This record gives sequence, structure tokens and C-alpha cells, in this order.
Amino acid sequence: MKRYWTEIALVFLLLLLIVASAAVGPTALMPWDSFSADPVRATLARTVTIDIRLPRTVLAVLAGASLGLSGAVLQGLMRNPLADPGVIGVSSMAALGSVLAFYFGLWSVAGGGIVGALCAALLLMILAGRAPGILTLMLAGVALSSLAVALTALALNLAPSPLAAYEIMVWLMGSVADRSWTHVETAAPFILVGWGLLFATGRGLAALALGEDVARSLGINLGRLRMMAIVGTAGCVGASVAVTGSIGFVGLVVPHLLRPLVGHDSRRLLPVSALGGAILLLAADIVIRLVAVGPELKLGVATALVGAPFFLTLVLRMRGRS
Amino acid sequence: MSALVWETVSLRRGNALVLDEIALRLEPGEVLGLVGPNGAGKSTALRCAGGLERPTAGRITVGGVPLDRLGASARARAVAFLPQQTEAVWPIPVEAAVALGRLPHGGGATPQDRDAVDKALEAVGIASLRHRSITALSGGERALALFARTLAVESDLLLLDEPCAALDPQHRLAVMDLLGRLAAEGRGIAVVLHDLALAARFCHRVAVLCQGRLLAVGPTEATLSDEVLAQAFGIRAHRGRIGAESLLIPWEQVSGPNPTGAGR
Repeated sequence: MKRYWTEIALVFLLLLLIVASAAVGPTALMPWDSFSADPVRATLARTVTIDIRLPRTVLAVLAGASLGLSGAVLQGLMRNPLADPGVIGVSSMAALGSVLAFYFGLWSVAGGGIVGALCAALLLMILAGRAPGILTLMLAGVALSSLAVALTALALNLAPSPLAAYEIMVWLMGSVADRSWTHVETAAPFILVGWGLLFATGRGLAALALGEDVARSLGINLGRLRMMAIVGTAGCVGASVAVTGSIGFVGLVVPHLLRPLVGHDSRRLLPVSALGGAILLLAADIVIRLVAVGPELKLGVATALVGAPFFLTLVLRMRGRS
Repeated sequence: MSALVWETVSLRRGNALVLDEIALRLEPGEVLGLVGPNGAGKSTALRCAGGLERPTAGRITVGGVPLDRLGASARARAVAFLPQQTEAVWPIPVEAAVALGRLPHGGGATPQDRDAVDKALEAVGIASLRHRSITALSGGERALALFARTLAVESDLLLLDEPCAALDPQHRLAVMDLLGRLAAEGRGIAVVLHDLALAARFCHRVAVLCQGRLLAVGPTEATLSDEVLAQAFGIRAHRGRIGAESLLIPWEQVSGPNPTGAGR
């Protein structure tokens, strides 16, 4: 029998971090103070926990799981260990979409993020072809990211007021701080639908481990599999980016950390990567709150500081192997 | 057990007619060799039957049912396919790679699934490699593991695109022997071979393809005649007999320009 200790341990860790996340903050109030005998203290604790800390916790879980899951799916789909919504440009295109939606006051910011992410995913498939090699994929991702970043900079450049530009800048750094339940409500439906699509790709991705011909001969519909992965990634990453800003490297790092524990079979890797992503982002967000000196460090800045060196070592290790 | 039939199958890619009205049957209990020069359409004919490519005209049936009406999973259970090239990127254990052959059956870890994987590993003789990572194997070992993956499907029909290409002589013989035993169990096996000696000795029937057309098909010895070899490959063969088995060694090129312009 297979042992599922990794899964059990990750679920426990996540629950632990959710409680910790609801308890940590600049005010020394704990969730259980809501039931304090002192009515003022109880009301205050309830407000802080429910309206300030919990939305932040929930968003960190939703965004983290989306990034971890989509990273694992994209790596499986592209058969490429360097794929990740950030590296291949989906995140920056989602950010661009959100910025444009915000800038022009169009539709919803979440909708803009999703449309941006969808455009990125489709463009990538066209640019990089059917079975993209590492080089093609990375170059296409670099091109797409640079384009998105340039267009975002253009939007900043043309911003009507310095205040609007500043607001966009801060949002772009990526954070789950000061978010409300409205943010959760905006993003959650898209994220949940995206997860549904992504989780359904596990079987097909497992078959893809031996190449497209084998997968197809095993009865996998590759066109449908690609669409599910693309639309699913666009939905959950697009909506996440729209409310949290761009948070990079989670999707890249998490599957790599977990493969030694659960192996390479996507059917097992996907759920575990979702859990791992949520844990990583939640833990990072708690650490940020604890070390707060002066202005709080942005979550996206923190993940990039840790993730970029990891990415570099990964590239070096791959170069050593080939 | 049901036959696989190519019903006047044509496939056009751009301006090139890759398959030109191929009419062919694969019966249960036989090893059918597909031979022909490079670019003759052998692989494409096989890929069409495996559901990897769709003919532009004609159709392929299994037990009388057209392939595209069979449904993806039912087709995958009835017809197992071994591609010519497989790129394994993830270091998964051999055992897990072979178990992918069980996906059309649900892909779970039922005792039946595990039994099929064990039997496939035994049959190919790589049970000792089962915990090794597939990316760490030698080319030949990997080819055997992928062949075992095809066997694990436990389908009635097997389509093998050059299963012997990467193998040493001993393993070539082992694989061809195994194909004979599988056919004796009642399976139908179509195998693309470049090695005419193997085809002449081990195939019950051969189909000779040339420039997308079926040049000849029938019992191996009669079909691989001097005229067919000259026309399809532009070669002459040296023939012999060892016991009841026939020996054929490609010996020399037919001099002068090739009348059909074999190859492309």
C-alpha cells in the first residue's frame, strides 16, 4: 500500500498556519478573544479576526494553491521543469490585464486579469508550438513578459495622476495585506472553477510523461487536455493576480520541492502542489507580518527574493545534467 | 478476438499523398510485418490504426466498428501502440511507466492492474529494472521498458513501430520470439521492421509499402520475392533455409537506376 504521510502532514501544516495567520498581527488580539468576557475586547477581536486577518488568510491560501497547482500542471503539460505561470509570462500578462481594466475603469479588475492570462496562455501555445522545447518556451515567455511589463510601464507612464501610478506600483508588488471579503468574493468563483479544470488534468498529464504519441494512444484527448490546462491556469492565476498583484516563483518552486516526496505522477503531484503552494504563501505572509520593521515587506517581493536564486540553481543543475 | 482492417485508407499531408489507398487486414493470431524503404508510409499506416492520425479518406475498423466510433478509451483498450520514438523527460520508475499502460482500464492500482504490470515486465525480461528510473536506463533497456508498457495494456491488437531498432541481437531475437508467442495466444500484431532478416524469419505475413502504396502483401516468403525487393528497396537478397525457417540477407544494390525511384 502507498503511504500518504506527505498529504496528511501537509494538510496538518496548512491548518496550523491558517490558525496562526488568524492570530498574528500588529494588534495583540487572538481569535479566541472574540469570546472574551469584556464586550469591547470581544467586538474588537471579532472585527480584527473576521474582517482584517481572515480575508488575508483566505486570499493567501487561494492564491498560493492556484500558483502551486498551475505550476505543477504547466510543468506536466509542457513536459518542462522550468514552466510556471510567472516564468512563461502568464502572471505579467494577467497583471497587465488588471492594470488596463483598472486604468480604463473597464468591467472588473478580476475579469481583466483573467483575459490577460488567457491571452498569454494562447499566445504561448501559438508561439512555442505543440511540444515546446525548453529554449523555445523560455524565449516565448521572456518575450511575452517583456511585452507585458513594457505595456504596464506605458500605462504607468500615461497615468493621469502620480497617485494612480503609485497605487498601481504598490499593487504590482504583490500582497495579500489589507484585502477585504469583497476581494475574496471577486476572485474565488474564477479560482474555484480554474482549480476544477486543473485537477481534472491529472490523468492526462500522467500519460504525457511518455510523450504525446503514447498519451494519445492511451486514449487521452490532447486538445482537450491543453484547453483545460490553459483555461484553468488563466482562471485561477488571472483571478489571483487581479486581487493580489503578481507573486512570482511559487508555482516554479513548489512542485520541485514536493516531487522527491511524492514522485512524478501528476495524479498525486497536483493536489500536493496546491497544498504546498498555499502553505508556502501563507507561511511567507506570516513571516512578513512578524518581521515587520518600518513599512511591511510586500509578499511578491519576498517570494521573488527567495524564488529567483532557487530558479538560478535549478537552471545550473539542469545545465550540469545535460 | 477481432481483426483490424485498413479499408482503402489514404492520408494527404499538404500536397504529398503519404498513404495511397492502403487496403490491409491484421488477423488475430498473426504477426504481420510492415516493411518498405524510408518514407514509404509504414509508420503513418500504423499511426492511423493507433488513432494517432486520421485518414483523409477511407477508414479503419476493429471488429467491424470504425475506429472513431469506438470511443477513445475503448480504442485504447483494443489497440496498443508503441511509437518509434518516445521522449521520457521525468525520471519515473520503470514500474510506474509500465503501469501507464493501465490508464485505459481506469489506471488504478487494482490487483489486476498490478498483475498485468508484473506479467509485462516478466515477459520482456526487465523485472530486475522495475525500480530503476526510466531516464537512467540505456537506450535498449528503455526501449524494452516502453515495449512492456505497450504489453501492459493487454490489448488484443498490438501495433509496434520498430520495436527492435535500439536493441542488441540477443534482445531483438527475444522480442521477436515474444511476438510469436503473443500471436500464438491469439493476439494480432502489426510490426514495422527495417531488418528484412527478422521479417523473413518471424513474420507470418508481410505487407510491403512503397511511396505510400501497398506494393505486395501475403505470406512472407512468397511476398518478399526478388522482384518485390528490387522494386521496393532496389536490392537483391541472398536466400537460404535453416530447418523450416527461411533466411534472407540483403546482399547488394540492384545496379542501374531504380525503376520506381524507391524512397523519396
